Amino acid sequence: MTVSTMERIREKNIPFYALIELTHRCNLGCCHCYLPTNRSTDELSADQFKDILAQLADAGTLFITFSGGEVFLRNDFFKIATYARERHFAIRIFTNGTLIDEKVVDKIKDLNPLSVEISIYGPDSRLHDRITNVPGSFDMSVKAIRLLKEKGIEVGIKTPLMTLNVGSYKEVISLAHELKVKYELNMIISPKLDGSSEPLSYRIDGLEVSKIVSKELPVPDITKIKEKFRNLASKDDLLMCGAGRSSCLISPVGEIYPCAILRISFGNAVKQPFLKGWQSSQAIKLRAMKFCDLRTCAECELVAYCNRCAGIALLEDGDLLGPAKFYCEMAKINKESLTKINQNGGRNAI
Amino acid sequence: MVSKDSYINKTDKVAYRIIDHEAMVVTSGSNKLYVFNRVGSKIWELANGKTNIKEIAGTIHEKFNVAYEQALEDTIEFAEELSRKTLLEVKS
Repeated sequence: MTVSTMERIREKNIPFYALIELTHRCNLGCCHCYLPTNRSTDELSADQFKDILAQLADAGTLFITFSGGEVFLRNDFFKIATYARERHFAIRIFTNGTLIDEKVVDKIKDLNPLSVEISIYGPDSRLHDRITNVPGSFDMSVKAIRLLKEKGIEVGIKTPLMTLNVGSYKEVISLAHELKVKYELNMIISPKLDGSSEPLSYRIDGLEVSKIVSKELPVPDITKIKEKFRNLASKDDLLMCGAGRSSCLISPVGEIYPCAILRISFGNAVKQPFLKGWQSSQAIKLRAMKFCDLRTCAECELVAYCNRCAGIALLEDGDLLGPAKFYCEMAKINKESLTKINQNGGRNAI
Repeated sequence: MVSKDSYINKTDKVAYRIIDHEAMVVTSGSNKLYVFNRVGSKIWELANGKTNIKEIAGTIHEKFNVAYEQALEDTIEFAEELSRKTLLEVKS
């Protein structure tokens, strides 16, 4: 897609990407999960989700990610997903894979999904099962990956790195290579949505994140960082990631949110038309917020090195417009390491 | 091979949305998103397995004020390209 097309989608607030949480129920008990321990099991019916999908199609959504909880705990998953394909959505499925057998794989194949993305927390059952708290889950997830690959379905491994598994991330990458699937490492562990900081005890510190990023990603372009600094202070939106503008989240009960972390409700897509919520005063207010509105960050000398997440700032530090302390720490480390890289003529110093 | 009597249809693998007369198309297993211009988007819209190439070219000729022969040539070329990319299937 050209930049101008994406810019137009964003400027027009077209919810091009929608993440739909079909359920919060899950058959695993992952220690770092951001869903509350005592979560509601209320969910919309398949017909209600189909109605929302029809509205999203009319609003311009192309990409749908079905997520959970565990989506395959819903007996009507394929009823919803098949309807999504009939409405010409491109679909991705986030799952732990444990409920995927040969029959399910055949049904997934019929959906022609863009990809199926499976959470893998370690290179073996010892580590993975310790994190999921379900013995045998690693073997079931890996079996699902193999079955999906055999049918020619695009598969990706998603791995949140935390204190328990950070030492094994290279082995996870090797496993992905062995299985011939893509992998994605995620280094941000979020608090639970009810505010509980329990998962943060598993979060790796900024220095560890920086070390991994510097090994796995190309050296950042200093010129671009300086350009980012010039832009930020003046005109950039508070939410630079597309949340609430080109992407949205629909919860199991139909609440419309900007994203998975930033749970400021724009309304409920069952109680009112989706577009009414998407164009609600709350949505307009959030979109109008600019980076220069940030009370502390706009004046911060580290702003160009910071990848501040507004959702984390609100959830973890209690202020949408205040600093997100984890990102403050990251920004300091980023500045130090990039300065060293600059002094070394572009070579990595970490 | 696409001829003026061929019928074209979107394959089962594609997902698409038409926004402001621009078709955005993606295929399963791929991250590549195709964005068509207005003429391409109209051809895409009419690729329904029921409208043949001649009729599609006729619509392009009328709607975009291009000579019919040119519209026919462009439609065939576009359909062949999308067929190679497995976005469209062709029936004679």
